[in-house]
Amino acid sequence: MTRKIILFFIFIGLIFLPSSVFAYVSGPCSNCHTMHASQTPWPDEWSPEVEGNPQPYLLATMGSSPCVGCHSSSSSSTYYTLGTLKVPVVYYTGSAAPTSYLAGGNFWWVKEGKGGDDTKGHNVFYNEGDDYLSKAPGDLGFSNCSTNGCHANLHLPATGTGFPELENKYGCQGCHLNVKHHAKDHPNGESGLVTSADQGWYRFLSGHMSGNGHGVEGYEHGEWEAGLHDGGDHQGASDHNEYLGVPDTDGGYGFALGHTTTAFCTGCHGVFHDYQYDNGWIRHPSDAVIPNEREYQYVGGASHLYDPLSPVGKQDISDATPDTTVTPGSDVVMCLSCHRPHGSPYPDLLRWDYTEQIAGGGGNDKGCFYCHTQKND
Amino acid sequence: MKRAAVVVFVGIIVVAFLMVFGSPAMAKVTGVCSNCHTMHYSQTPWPEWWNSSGGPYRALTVNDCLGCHSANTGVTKTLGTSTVPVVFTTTEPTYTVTGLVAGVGEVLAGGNFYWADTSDAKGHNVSGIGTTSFTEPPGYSQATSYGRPATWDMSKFTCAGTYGCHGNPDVEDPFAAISGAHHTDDSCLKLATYDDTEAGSIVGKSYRFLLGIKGIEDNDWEKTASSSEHNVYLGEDRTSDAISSTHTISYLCAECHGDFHSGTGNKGMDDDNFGSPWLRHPTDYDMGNVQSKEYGNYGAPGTTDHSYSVIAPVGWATLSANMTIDKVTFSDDTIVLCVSCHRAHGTPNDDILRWKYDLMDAGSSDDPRNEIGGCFICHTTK
Repeated sequence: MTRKIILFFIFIGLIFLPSSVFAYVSGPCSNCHTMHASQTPWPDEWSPEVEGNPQPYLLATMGSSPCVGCHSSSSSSTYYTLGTLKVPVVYYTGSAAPTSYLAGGNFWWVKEGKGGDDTKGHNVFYNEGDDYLSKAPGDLGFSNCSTNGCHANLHLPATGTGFPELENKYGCQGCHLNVKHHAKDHPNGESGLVTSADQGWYRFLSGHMSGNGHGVEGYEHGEWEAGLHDGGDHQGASDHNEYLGVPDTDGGYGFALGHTTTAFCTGCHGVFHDYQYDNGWIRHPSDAVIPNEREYQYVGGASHLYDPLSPVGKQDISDATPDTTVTPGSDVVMCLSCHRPHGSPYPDLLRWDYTEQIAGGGGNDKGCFYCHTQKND
Repeated sequence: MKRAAVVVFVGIIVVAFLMVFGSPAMAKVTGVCSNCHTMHYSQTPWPEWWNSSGGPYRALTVNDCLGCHSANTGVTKTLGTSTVPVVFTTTEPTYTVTGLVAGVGEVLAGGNFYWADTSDAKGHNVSGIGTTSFTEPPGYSQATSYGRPATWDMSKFTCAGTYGCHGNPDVEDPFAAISGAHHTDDSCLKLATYDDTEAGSIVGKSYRFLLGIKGIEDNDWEKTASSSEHNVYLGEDRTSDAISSTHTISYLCAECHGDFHSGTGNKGMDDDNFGSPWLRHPTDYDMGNVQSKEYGNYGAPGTTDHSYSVIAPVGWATLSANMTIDKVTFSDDTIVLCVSCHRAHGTPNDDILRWKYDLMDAGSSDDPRNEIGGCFICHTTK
């Protein structure tokens, strides 16, 4: 009898296991896909542009790219609910600039007809070329790869890449090369550590060519840091993304630097990492340890509180528990410490307004002054 | 005879190629970071006010020393909300060499490198400005005693570091040599808040970033200057040819031009005795020792109360907050300095003199201090 009771509970446990361990995108397939774009009648929640116009991955929604359709919203600038799913919004389609946005920022500021400022976001929208740049700043020479290669621009489909998996990709997929919404990482809406290809890598950021098989590792905040764009009152809180940081300022690019977000950024912006030091810093360091000396020893104030506005990389994220503090002498500065990859209200996709960083101005220790703690005194 | 004495006296000065820093001030910088720094030198579009090329530069600045401290014209310029002292202009500044001006109010206290580009004798040839026939600074033989390299490399001559004047001379790279200085609270160097303990302690708290040197910095680098508004230099009333206090402005000059300042035998101010007749023009020596002579008439032209002269500045042996700076008493406050006669950066006059030496005509006036100025601010009856 006891044996039967044990087996019963094991059975019950297996029933619930998928939702707590192997959860990822869940819900009706029809939330996102249609098997036939000719379907009649056409549901209101699907994009009218798709009706009779089949899309990659059999998606039922579309925008200027397969991604934008789902990840945009006119009502929310952080995330919205689709059935049982929380869907992160990276492009707010409202007429006014969003007042809240996710950790990666929002493309509103770069979108033509909205913010329309090419200095404030990556140009992922179709046929909306950059007004200023002809290639990724800090390009190590890869911008000549193919026609409209991702290293040059993101607004037109790449052709002649020599990599079938990259052909005709552009926009969001210039960075999110291998999107795996059904990878087994962690429950939608919940947080979790992502460290492998099976999990889709951190935010689906993975490499190709020499980076093939490698990707970014990190702890994904379940709500993409919604509401934390200005740090709010979350200094010292634990509900935030946690980024991997591997000290490496000796040059190089790509995942040879470690599975960090910075390593991924160097794929297109390698010069900014490859040539940082010349008998002194000539570019702002990235993947460099925040010194436990001089003004940097006071990063985060007396209690060294972690601030989501100025994130740092952690050398060990294996505990899958975001730190509440920043540790000078160990934690590293990253590209993401200052930038948001999608877009921000500020030039250079900065997390804060650089023109408001006043040396000697007596302002608070936010933005640049989170690390440069005494420059504002 | 008097004329001959003047010629000998001042001739010694001319030979002395003293670099003295009266000025390009760099008080604690305030304002937006973007005034001076770019995180990515490749930034596009490039703001107009970053008139720059040749980067990226260390410390992520948008330019090098001269790049930031130069302009087409003027003595200061505005970068955002910051006022930047200009030490190098591309057009010739006004500098009145006749009359009682000697460039006061026309250039900053340290002068302008413009003239270094026109003549080897008219300025320090830093950072490739102009050319020089010197392979080492004049009077350099005692360099190691002053903490400078035994062998000079003129190709490295620049604003800061081992081969420059500003910053830490132990560090060759000019950016590293002044690292952090622009952002240091330097209130210890201001008249109202002077703190002798802090002054000179680090580069950022040293007079004009001249490591170890003490002084009181005029707020506008003597853009406007008068007896009551000027830099205040530290000097020492020496009684021998020994090296002076390491904190005096003349010591800074002597780091490279030591033979004109100290030493045994045929070096320094004198040979055996320390007094008239001098072998070289004295520095770090108080005119109060010879107040009974013509030197007791020192003072700004047009005054009889021994007002401090910004034409021929003198030094104090001790500095303190809110000290009296508009008049001298000949008691350790009339110390002859290298910068009494020279400007550090450049002037239209040979030997970087403050005034035109050719106009110093002994016996041409019964009241040369008030009528000619220059050497006669001190040598009042020559």
